[in-house]
Amino acid sequence: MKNLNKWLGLAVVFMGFVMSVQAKDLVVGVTEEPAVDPHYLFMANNIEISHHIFEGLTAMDNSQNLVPALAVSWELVEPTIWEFKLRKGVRFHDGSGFTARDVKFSYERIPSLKENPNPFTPLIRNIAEVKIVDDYTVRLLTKKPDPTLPSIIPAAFIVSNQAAREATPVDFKKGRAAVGTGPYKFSAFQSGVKLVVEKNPNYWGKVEPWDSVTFKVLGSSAAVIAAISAGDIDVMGNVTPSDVITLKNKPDVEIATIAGARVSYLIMDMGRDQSPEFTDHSGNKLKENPLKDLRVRKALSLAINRQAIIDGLLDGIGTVANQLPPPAIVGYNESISKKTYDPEQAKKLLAEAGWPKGFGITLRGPNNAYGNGKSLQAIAQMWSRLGFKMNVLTEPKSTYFPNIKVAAGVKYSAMIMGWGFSEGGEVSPFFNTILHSYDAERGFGPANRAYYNDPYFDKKLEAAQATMERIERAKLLKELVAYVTDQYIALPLYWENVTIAFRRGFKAEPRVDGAILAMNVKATN
Amino acid sequence: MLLFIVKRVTIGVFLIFLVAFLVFCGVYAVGNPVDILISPLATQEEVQQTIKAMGLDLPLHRQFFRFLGNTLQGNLGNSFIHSEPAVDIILRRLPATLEIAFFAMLLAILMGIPLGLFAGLNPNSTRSRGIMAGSILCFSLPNFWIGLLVIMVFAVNLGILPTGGRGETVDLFGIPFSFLTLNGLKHMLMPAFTLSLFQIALIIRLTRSGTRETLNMDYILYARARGLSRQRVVFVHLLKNILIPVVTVVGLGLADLIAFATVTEKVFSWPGVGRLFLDSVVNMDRPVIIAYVMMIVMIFIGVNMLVDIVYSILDPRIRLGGRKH
Repeated sequence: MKNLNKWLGLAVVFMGFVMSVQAKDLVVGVTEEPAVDPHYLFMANNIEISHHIFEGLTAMDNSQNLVPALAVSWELVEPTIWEFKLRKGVRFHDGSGFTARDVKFSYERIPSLKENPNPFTPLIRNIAEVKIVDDYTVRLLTKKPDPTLPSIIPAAFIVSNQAAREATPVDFKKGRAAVGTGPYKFSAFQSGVKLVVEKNPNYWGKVEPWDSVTFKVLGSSAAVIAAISAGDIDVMGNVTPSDVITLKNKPDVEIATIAGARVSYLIMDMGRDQSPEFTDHSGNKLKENPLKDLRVRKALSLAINRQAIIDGLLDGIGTVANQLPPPAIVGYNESISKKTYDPEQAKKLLAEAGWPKGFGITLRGPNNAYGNGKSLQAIAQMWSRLGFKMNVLTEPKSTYFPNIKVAAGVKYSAMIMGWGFSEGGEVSPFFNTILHSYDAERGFGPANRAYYNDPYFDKKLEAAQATMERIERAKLLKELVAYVTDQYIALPLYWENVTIAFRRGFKAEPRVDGAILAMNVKATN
Repeated sequence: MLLFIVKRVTIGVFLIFLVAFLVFCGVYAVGNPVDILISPLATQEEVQQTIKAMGLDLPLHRQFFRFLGNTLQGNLGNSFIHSEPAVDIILRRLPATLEIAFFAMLLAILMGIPLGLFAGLNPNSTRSRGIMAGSILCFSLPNFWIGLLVIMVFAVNLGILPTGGRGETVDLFGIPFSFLTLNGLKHMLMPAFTLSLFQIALIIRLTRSGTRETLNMDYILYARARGLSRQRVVFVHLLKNILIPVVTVVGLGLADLIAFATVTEKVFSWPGVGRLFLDSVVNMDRPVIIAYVMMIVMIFIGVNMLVDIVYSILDPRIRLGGRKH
C-alpha cells in the first residue's frame, strides 16, 4: 500500500511535469515572406499575418460580417464625419495604453511610408483628416460621403505611436517597432525561414490557446503540400483544386472548404473601334470590333459551360457564377437567371449578328495566377465549337500586368482576371475599378480593360455610392449588377472556394476572405 | 603572379558593370515593378504617385546613371519586397547557399573520385558498368524532379527526414550554420545530395577517363617496373596527375552550385540566395535581381582565378602571368 502510494505520487508528479513542459505550438505553412510592417505591401498574405499582431478599428468575422475591434462602436455624425468610440483599457505589447493618438499616428503613417511599391493608401484614400476628440473618441472626416468606411478599414492596422515613430519596415522585422494590440506578440523573424509570434497574455479579448505560432516560409505551394503531408506544418491555406486531389489521399490531413469572396472572370475589349487581337480566320486584324454588338458578347458568354470547367479543372470546388459578385457580397442579385450555358442560343445570336462562323480571338492570362490559365484552354475549345479561331497565350504575372495597363493602352483583347471582394464587402469598389469609364483625375476605371464607356452606368454607380441609407444603397447596387450582367461586359466564370488543410489533431475554420488565422485553429485532442 | 591578379581583377570589375548594365536594361524592358506589385484597388493617380515616389518614372538612362552613382557609393538600392538594402539581404542569405554548395561539393568529391577511380581501374567489371550507367542517370534526370522524388520517399512516405527548410542553426563567428547540429544536418542531407548528383556524375566520368588514359603512360609503367606498390602507383603517381581536370571541374562546379542552386533551393525551401533570386524575379524586385547577378559574376571570376592558382601549385609546368622563357 505504501509502495502503491509512492508510485501514484510519482505518477502524479510526472504527469504534472509532462503537462507543464508540453508547450502548445502551432506551425502554419506560408509561401510568401511576410513584410511584418502592417503598412508595407498591401497584399492578402501580409494582412493575414498582421491580424495576429495588430488590429484595426473594426474587423471582419469569418463570414465577412463587420464586428468591433479596437473601436467598440461607430456612428455617422454627418454625411462626411464618422465617429468611432475606442475600446478602453487596451494595452500595446510593450505595456503602453492604446488611445486616439495611435489611430491618428497610424493613419498618417500609411501614406508617409517611403519607397513602398504597394501602399495601403486605397483603404484610407477617402479620409481627409483624423480628428482626436478625446483619448477614446476619434472622428474620421471623409472627402466624400462614405457609408461603407467602417467595412473598408479593418486592414488599416493600428501601430503604437511610440514604438513605431519614424520606424522603417526593417525596424518591424527586427521586432522593436512590431508592437501591436493583437492576440499575439512578435517573437522572432528570420528572412526566408520563419516568423514566430507568441501568446499575448494581456490581450483584451479571449487569450489564445497557443503559446506560440510559427509561420514557416516555404518556397512553393508544392513544398507546403509536402510539408503538411509529412507533418512538418500543422495548417495551410490557399489549397488549390489540384492539391485537394493530392491531399485527399493522405489519412492524416483534413480539408475544409467554403464559398469565398473571389470571382474569376473574362474581360474583353468592347469599346475600342479596332482591337489588337480580334482577327479574321486567316489571322488579319479585323477592321471593326465585333464585341461592340451585344449579341456577340452574349453568344460568347452562353457558349461557356461553366459547370464543366468547375468539374473538370477545379475538382468540383467552386460555384458557377451567373453574375460578378458572389452571394455574400452586397449587390448580389438573386433574381438573375441561374442559366448561363446555352450553345444553341449562342449560335443563333452569332448568326443574327453577322458572324455565323465567328472570328479569331487570342485569350490571354498569367501562368502563375488565376488558375494558371487552365480555364482559358477549356474556354477556347468551347468557343472554337462555334467556329471561332482560338489562340491561347499565357505568360508570367511580371509581364502580363505591364501588358494590360489601361493607362498605357491594353495590348490584348480578351483576358482572364480575378477579383477578391474582401474590402468593403460590396460590389462598388470592383465596379469603380473595372467597369466605370476611365477617368484618371477622379480615380475611376484604372483597370477598365473592356474600354466600357456607358454614361448611364457611371451615373447610376456614382448615385448608388452617394446613397447613405443601407437598404436603398443595396437596392441600387443590385439593379446595377442586373444591368451590367445583361450587358455582358465582364463575363463571370466561377466563384472561387476558400480551401484550407490541417493535420489530424487540429481543427481549422476557413474564412470567406481566404485568410488563415491561428485564432481559427483549435487542438482537438 | 601579382600582375596576373591585377589584370584579372580589372577585367572582372569591367565585366561586373557590363553585366549589371545588360541586366538593368533587360529588367527595365520587362516592365514597371509597381504595375505588378500594386493592389488592383489603386487608382491611376495612386499608381502614378507610387511610381514617382520610387523614381521609376525617369527614363532608362537617368535611372541607370542614378543606379551607377549609388552603386559606386556602395548602395545597390533597397529591395522592393524586403524594404532593406539588396546587398544586406543577399549577404544574409548567402551563408545558407555557401553551406549547402560546399556540402554538396564535398559529397561529390568523396563519392565521385573513389567511384571514378574504381571504374577506371576495373573498366570491364559489372560494378564499373553499373557506376557508369548510374552516372548517366545523374546527368540526365532533372534536379527538381529528383528533389521532389526524395522528398516523397524520405520525408512523406518514410518520415525520416524533414521536407524542407533549414532546421536548427548554430552561430559560428556570428554566422548561422546548420552542419553543427543533428537537426541541421538532417535538413541539409536531401538538398545537398540532390545538388551533388550532377557533380558526382561529372567527377566520376572525368576521373575514370583520366585514369584510363594515364594508366598507359610511360611514367606509370616505369613506376610499376621500379616495383612500387600498387597503392603508391595509384594514389601518388596516377591520382596527382588526373586531379588537374578534376580541380577545374570542382572549381567551376562550386561556382555553379552557388549560382544555380536556385531550383533545388526552391524545392527544399532552403533559405539561400537562389530562392531569393527566383522570388525576386517573380516579383520584379529589381535591386535584388541586379545585385544577385553582379554577385554571381563576381563569384565566377573569383573562382576562375583561384582555379588558375591551384593549377600552378598542382602542375609546376603551368606558370601564371604569361612569363616568357
